[in-house]
Amino acid sequence: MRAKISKQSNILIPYENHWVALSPTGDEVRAAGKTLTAVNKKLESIDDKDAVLTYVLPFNKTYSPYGA
Amino acid sequence: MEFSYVPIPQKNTKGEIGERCFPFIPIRLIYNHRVGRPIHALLDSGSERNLFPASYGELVGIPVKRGNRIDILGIGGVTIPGYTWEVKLYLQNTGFLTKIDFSYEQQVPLLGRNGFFNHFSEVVFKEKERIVVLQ
Repeated sequence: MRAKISKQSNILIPYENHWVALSPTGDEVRAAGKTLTAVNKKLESIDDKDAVLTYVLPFNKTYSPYGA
Repeated sequence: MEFSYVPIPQKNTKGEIGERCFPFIPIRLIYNHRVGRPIHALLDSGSERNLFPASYGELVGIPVKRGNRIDILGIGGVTIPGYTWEVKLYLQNTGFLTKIDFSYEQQVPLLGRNGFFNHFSEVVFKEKERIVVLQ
């Protein structure tokens, strides 16, 4: 069963633990990969300069950063 | 400046998918006149300094390992190595020079108090509205 989630969240479901490049509005994944380098290469190949890089955190873990 | 939190999927203990929202904001780094791609960085009031993935620094052209090496202590007493660089950080049309620690053991870019929060008079987390306001 899937709870009601936003479109912005829904499009990220295939990309757990991956880097994605989102459209500035956040409603489209323009490129994805396991590393930033891989995503950057895909963006270069489609001459996309305004996509926003985002790391998709694991879905089944909470996140507490390293902050000291 | 106002930014909406970014929703990320979440699985509960039954494997059902929902979502949680994080105060990610889109920033860019500039190093040696080279402009980096926009990246979502997490506003982390618990972080003393800025901490970014080394791979992002290298995309901007920073020779990360030539920076000053520091040890960064975090949750659970884990220490990771970082390399400090001075870069220009842009948030929309506002830019300022700041120091960022880059680490090969960090995935999510973190914006901390010294180096980001201290460039603003107010950083307001509106949790119920899922909005952060910087001024």
